[in-house]
Formats: sequence, structure tokens, C-alpha cells
Amino acid sequence: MAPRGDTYSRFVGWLKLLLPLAALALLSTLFLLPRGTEPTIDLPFMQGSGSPGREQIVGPNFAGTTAKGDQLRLTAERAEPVDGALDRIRAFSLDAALDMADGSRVTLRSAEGLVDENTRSADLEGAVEITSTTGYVMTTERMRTALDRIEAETLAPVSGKGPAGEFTAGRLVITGEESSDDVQLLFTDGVKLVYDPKDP
Amino acid sequence: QGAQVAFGGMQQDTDAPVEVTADQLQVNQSDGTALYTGNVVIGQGEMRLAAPRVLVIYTEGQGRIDRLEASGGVTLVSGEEAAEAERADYSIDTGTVVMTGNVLLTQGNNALTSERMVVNLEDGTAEMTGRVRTVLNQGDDAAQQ
Repeated sequence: MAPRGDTYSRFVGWLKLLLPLAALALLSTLFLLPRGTEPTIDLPFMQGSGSPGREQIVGPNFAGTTAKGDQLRLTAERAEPVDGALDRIRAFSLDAALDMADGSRVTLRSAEGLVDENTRSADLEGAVEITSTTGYVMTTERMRTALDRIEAETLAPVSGKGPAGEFTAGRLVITGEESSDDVQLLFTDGVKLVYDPKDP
Repeated sequence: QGAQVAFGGMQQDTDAPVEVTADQLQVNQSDGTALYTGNVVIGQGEMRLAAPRVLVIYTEGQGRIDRLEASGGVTLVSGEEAAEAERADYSIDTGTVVMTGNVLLTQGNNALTSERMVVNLEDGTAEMTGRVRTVLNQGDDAAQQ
């Protein structure tokens, strides 16, 4: 082969070696060289506000019917289990409606309450408001109501308006079972009514 | 035969607020009747009506009290007079107390008994009807009960 042709073919020979190596080098930069940032490390995680484990029940309601047909319906805006267990629930802006078989109704409303499944009762706290279709609108500090029968009692003095006149009493007990078939509102521990004939 | 006597001696404003205090009040949830029991005292101005049981009767409109029915031995005191009976119906708007059953009215050391007595609180008078008997005590010994 002519000496002049040598250099060209040697040049091509070297190219045949160098070019694949260069390609290989280029390809390896795809995965061999480490990227600047590790994507999973700095993903933006949100810092949890409060204890993330706090479950909340929104709009819980509880309904029960007594043997005599009086119905009790308890609803709340939201509730959360007390220390994790579901049998004791702290509920907020509670509304309990006792609908008697004879059509009359007593409603209990309070800012906060503790519903206890074991004793089947609810303790209402804060400004508890008691209204009855017999014309009584009263408030008290604390009240306990049973969930499976018509049985409620205030744990503090109660005051408000009766069908006629202003009204205070030491305690109010709402009972339905034993005394007679009608549900009774029993005000005890001293009762005082002030009735003004001019504006009742 | 009836006897017209003065009672309480002075006019009383029957529009004054009426105060009812008692040990206990029982309200029937279905028909709304209200029964005060235990040392019930109804007070208005100078008048005090004490009884063990008082039932409240509301007017139809349920905003006013029509009358208070006291029973079980009633004592009505107004000014220096006192009257006792088995029952008394005090209607607030008309300002009258109708006492029935062994009515005994003591004025100073005189005593009158009758079956029925209607006390008008507004003009301080009382009218006794039904076997009215007067027990006059001569001298200054205390009225024998």
C-alpha cells in the first residue's frame, strides 16, 4: 500500500477505536456521575400542627328511644375521643332533644359536654340552656342527662323564665319513669317565682 | 247570713309583683300544670298567704296567672289581721282571696268563724258567709284558741 495511504488508514483505524470510547464516555455521564441534589431528601414535608394522632368526629349524633316511646336525640358540632378510647367523647356545642311520647319536648343546649358510653350519660358544661314546651326557658352551669331514658338533673342552681314570671331554683330534675306516666320537671332545693301582673 | 268586716285595713296595689317561694315545684310536662309544695308562701305587698300546696292556674294565653289554688291548711296574713282556712283561691287580677272550709278570722282578740270568706285585697274588706259566729273576748285575756 502506498505510504501516503497509510496515514489515512491509520487515522481511520484510530478513529474506529476512539469514537466508540467517546460515545461510551458520553453515555456513562447519564448515570455514573452523581447529580447535584438528592430529590427525596429535600421534598417539602409539612410540619404537623398539634398532635397528628388527634382524630375528630364532625357532626356526630346519637339517637335513642326509651321503653315508653320517648325519643332522645343528641347532636354536636364536633367531638373528639377522650384519651384515645371511643367510649368517652368530648363534644362541642351539644344539642339534646327529648321528644316525649305525648308530643311535648325538652331541649338541652350547651357549649361543651362529655358523653360517656359506659354510664350511658352525658355531662353538659358551660352555659347549659334548658327549654321546655311548657314555657320554661332556663340556664344552668352543669347538667347530667341519661342517654337511654328520660332522666336528667342539673348539678348547679337553675334560673330563667317560666310561663309567667322570672324563676330560680336550687336544682332541676327531669324524670319520666317512676312517678307517673307523664314526664315531670321537678324543681327542688328552694324555688322562687316573681310574677309581675303588669307585664307577665 | 253574711258579715262584712274590714281586713288588712289598707288598700293594696293588686298590680304589685307577686312572689311565690316554696321548697319544691313540680311541672307536668304534658299539660304544664305547676304545683308548688312544701312551705309555700305567696307574697304581694303586705299580704302573705302560706300553705303546704299551691297549684298555679294559668290564663288561656299562657302568659298570665289566672289564680293560685292553695290547699291543705291555709294562713292569710295582711296587716295585723290573720285568717285561716282549709283552702284559698287567690285570683291575682281581681285581687280577691276566696277562703273556704272552717274559716277562722282573728282581729286583735276577737275571732270570727264561718264556712266561707271572700277577701277583697283592693279595698281591704272581707265578707264572711255560711254559719258566721263571732267569739268576743271580754277583758284583756288572750283569745282562747
